[in-house]
Amino acid sequence: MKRIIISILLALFCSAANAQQPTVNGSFQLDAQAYFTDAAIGITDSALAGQRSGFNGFGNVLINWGDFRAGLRYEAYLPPMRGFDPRLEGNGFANVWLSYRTDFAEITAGNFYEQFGSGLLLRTYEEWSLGYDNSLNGLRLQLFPAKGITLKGVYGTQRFFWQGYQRNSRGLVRGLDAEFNLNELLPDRESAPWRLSLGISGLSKYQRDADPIYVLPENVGGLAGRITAGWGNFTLAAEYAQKVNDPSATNNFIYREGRSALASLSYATRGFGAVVQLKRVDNMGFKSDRSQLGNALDINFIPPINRIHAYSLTGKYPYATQANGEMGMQLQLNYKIPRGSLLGGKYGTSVALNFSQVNDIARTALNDTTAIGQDGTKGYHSKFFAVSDHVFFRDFNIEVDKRFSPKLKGLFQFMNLHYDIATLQGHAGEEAVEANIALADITYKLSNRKALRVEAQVLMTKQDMGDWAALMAEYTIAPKWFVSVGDQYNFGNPGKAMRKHYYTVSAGTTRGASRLALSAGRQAEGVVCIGGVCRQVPASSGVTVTFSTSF
Amino acid sequence: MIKHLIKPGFAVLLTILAAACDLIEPPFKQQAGQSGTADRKVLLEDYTGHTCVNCPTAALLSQNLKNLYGDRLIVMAVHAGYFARPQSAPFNADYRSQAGEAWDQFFNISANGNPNALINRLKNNTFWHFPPGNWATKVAEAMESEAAAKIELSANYNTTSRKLDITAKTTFLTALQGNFKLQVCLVEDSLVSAQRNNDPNAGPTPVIAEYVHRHVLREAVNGIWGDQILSNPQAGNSATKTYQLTLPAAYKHQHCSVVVFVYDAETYEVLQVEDKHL
Repeated sequence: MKRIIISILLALFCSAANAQQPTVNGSFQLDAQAYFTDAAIGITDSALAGQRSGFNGFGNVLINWGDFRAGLRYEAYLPPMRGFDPRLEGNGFANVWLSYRTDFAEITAGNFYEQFGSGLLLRTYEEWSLGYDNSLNGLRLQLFPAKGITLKGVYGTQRFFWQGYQRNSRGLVRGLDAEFNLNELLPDRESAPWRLSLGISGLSKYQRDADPIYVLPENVGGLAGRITAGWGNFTLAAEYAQKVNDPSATNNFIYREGRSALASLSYATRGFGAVVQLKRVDNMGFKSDRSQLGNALDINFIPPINRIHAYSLTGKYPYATQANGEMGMQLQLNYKIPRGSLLGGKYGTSVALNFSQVNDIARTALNDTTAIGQDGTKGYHSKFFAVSDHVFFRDFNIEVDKRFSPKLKGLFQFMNLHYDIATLQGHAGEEAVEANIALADITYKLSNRKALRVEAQVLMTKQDMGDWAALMAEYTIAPKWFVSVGDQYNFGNPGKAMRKHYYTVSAGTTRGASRLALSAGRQAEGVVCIGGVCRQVPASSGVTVTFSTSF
Repeated sequence: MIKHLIKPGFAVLLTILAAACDLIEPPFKQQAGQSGTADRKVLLEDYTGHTCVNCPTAALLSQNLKNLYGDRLIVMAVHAGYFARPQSAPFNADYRSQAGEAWDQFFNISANGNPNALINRLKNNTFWHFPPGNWATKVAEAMESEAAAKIELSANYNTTSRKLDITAKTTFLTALQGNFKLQVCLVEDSLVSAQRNNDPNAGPTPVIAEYVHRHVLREAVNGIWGDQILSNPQAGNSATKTYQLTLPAAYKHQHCSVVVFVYDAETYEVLQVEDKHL
């Protein structure tokens, strides 16, 4: 061990002596909102509770200097904008790290992001738009003992807003991962018609047990194995993960082991692509603090296998992964109808077909006297492929992307949705939303620099807040200016008094890598329940300024 | 050399990981009784609301803790924030109080979601609230701390005049620095009205039509932040405060109790709490 440490230190000194000129890059962003009362949508002085402004900002700098890399990110939420977790309030350097790399090893100290495989056991990441960051603060060692082999070890604690780690405040995370790329590892296989890589991970968390009710495991471990194989145009990727008993607030303190599997088969050729994905999750919530609910301190990440919609109404009912149990599938087909054909026209037409469905898993009681999911028990029985009739989410959508002329192009989408709002948003007792959504996104090029884009959407449903329509027009003068106006109208709300307009006006400019935008308008109120804790996302009406730049 | 290292290396790693798992065998619940110092009582303020779907589960948890610790745990349900607002029937009951709303805003509870609790008003690192998953552990920790004060509480209620006389004598058991305040609250138990619910173990879903709301804070008798009693007290120093009020007609005296607690005016930490049924 001493020899390894001395070797690393010697390498550091030698490298520093031969250091090249450092390179520095990074990015900055500032989002500021001012809030106004707006009686028409229920924003009164008391609803604002004194919060007249929100401010989220960050500065991120990355330095490369020979074999060294270092980075830091400053963040400020003073206070966080409405809709963000109030626990973010504060400012400071949220992320500071240093790493050193040789051909054999890379060591990182500080805050870092890591993912094992698809993340079923470990994924730390940062998502600014959600105010989410579960980075690890500790050490990571990566070894490259031979071409095609990567070994990783991580040890640390996770970020929890601005709370520094204190003894017993939350768990320690330690993990190991090994990946073998057989095409690189085996002689003369780099140009083989097949591709194969294998991986295995192990992860364990430690958290003290001081609970007077339950006998809790202080060490909770899990293992995962994965394969990625390719042959010609086909690619198969699969991962399976399992962890031992992990009673927690997420699973209502049951002692059942957790299991999760993810598989994807894809085919791609010129003009055509197909992907089918399958997923099963059974009691696989994994946090470094067993008492936490919601979006904090997640060690693992269960990837969604449904389309992420970017438009306001198609994205109005987003799926939320159910870590306690779900079984899902997705099929995605992409086809480009060739140009010159009857349907392809002069420029060709892209068609994308997507279907996804997620059900609950089927559970049976442990015995006649124990309710399913009762705390302080093994929870339930569930066979590995047992699916419940309870549909959480179903999305069928078709998208056509077509250019009609050099000046005119359009994107058209239809979506049929089933959304179990009681489970996915915690609106207990509410009927599942059955919605049909259609949209058209038309861009007309007025000149080489000027373009007009119009988005028209309609959402038809008898449930939740009823029907919505949205219209947005954006005028762009490339490459510097844009201005847009939009409105969302809840014209089918069951309560006539609630049939409100939510309008927005925006304008902005882009100069090089800098972008400045100003918008004013309204946002509808909602209630979001994540992992058993519900939070009101209040309606807001105000002005937003966004500035971002990178270098 | 690498070939020779990989196999034993992985064997070692897997052994380490296997050792890093605790497999728990039944029974999964503790058989032992309560622990801690007998004269130490703990206050759990459950911030809740009748349209909060996860609050009945949390109320069950607080009741389990109450069963475990008996008189040593005092639970007070504070209905405040968005989920406590009265709505159209059957959610037209209004259990909010001026003090509850003020505390909710000051300690930033419902903004972080319901259910959440204050436990002895101890600061949870950079914020105050504890999610239900923390309650048992934090209550157990609070029970272990030494009592710094004791409260002798009497509550004399006249059923004819509905006059309630409260006397609270606080005696400090150790010398302390700082200013200390006394907060007196009126709590009513077993109020029956509708509650949203999504936990079948807690009752019918999605609405429990006749939900029994336990330990509901009705009002703070001596203002939102109570009365100053002593500064920098020595061991043995005591202060007595008396209060008189007329019980509002809407309150069932058989279900009412007085909850009194002493807290540090700077840190808000509750040093001791006591209750008395009318």
